[in-house]
Amino acid sequence: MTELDDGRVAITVGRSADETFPAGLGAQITGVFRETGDPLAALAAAPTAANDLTALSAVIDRSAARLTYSSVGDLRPALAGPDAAPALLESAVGRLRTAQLSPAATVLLCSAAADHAAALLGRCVSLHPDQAADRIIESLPVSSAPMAAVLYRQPPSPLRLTVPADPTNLATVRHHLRGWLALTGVDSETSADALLAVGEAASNTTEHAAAGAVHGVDLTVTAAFADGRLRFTVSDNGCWKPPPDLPGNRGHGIRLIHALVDDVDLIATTQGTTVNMVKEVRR
Amino acid sequence: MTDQPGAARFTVTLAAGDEPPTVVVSGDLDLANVAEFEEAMAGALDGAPALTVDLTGVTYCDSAAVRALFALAATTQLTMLVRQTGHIKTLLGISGLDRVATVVTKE
Repeated sequence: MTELDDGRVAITVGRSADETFPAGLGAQITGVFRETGDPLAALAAAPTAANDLTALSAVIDRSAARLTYSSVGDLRPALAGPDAAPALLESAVGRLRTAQLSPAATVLLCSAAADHAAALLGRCVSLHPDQAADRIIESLPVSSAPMAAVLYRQPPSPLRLTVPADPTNLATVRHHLRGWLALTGVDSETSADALLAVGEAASNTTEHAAAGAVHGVDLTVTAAFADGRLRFTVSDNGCWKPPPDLPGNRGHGIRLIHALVDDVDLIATTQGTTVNMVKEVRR
Repeated sequence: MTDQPGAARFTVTLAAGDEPPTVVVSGDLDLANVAEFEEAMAGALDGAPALTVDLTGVTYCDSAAVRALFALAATTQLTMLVRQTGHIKTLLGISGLDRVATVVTKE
């Protein structure tokens, strides 16, 4: 697996007749990948026949949500959407095929026989990627040959949610945000930090609205995941004068947000207040 | 209070006969129910010098609860039970609550 210069990710999984992946061949395929960015060319250039190799090469373009793949022997990617059952994609023996990845779709590239790939993906599609890897390993018979598997999840569509700025709606905001974070596949610690940072900012907004006795204020939360960063905004349309801070009181919330995310930006205007937050996702 | 799908329901109960008195909290604790949490702690304390708050069943808690716990720790010997991992322990560390109260990890 290698990241190309333009940010696309190139992956090759495979096995030879004796169930190993010949030493040096991986580097050779990666080299062609780097030059051409083309899975068909990468496989064509490698001495696959001499090594009796079955292999699947793929390039994932994350920003275009596109998977391009080719194979030697019948290895096929398995694809599942958040609402679509796992299925094998079309065979691409000696040719190039392309598949569009819907938001939150999961792809499994696996060196085991193609029909196993869809079943394996079915067992782990709803799991967090860390747990999914464990589940794949658990699902294999003890006697099975060595296998390589790469699991990829396309980021979900951005989330946007507007509710009246009332503390009783904070649970609703968290409910939607928890669901969305689960689709991103980020680790549980990152998810918990993000949930708390956004929850804290939202809580501040509802508290301002209550303290200022302002009615008809809406709270809007957005979330997006791209380029390894989670971006959140928490905004309101309240034009109250912020109440004076009580000593040792509000400081906790602000300090907490700064400790939980990597970047915080607060914009207050007469039309309302917006908190922008960025959380880097560890790789 | 209505149930939110996917969110754990907030409950706060007093463990009978414990010495010091123990308040057991579970579910999501936020600005909407922090007053209920404060009332339960004050009721359980009832003049006693020490209180234990069991937070191991808490699925979410923010600075609203931190403020309530800081206020209590100012006048009471406060012990909090938390899980070994999870965001509650992070929250207590960042806020500094772990320096004014005793934190005991369970599991």
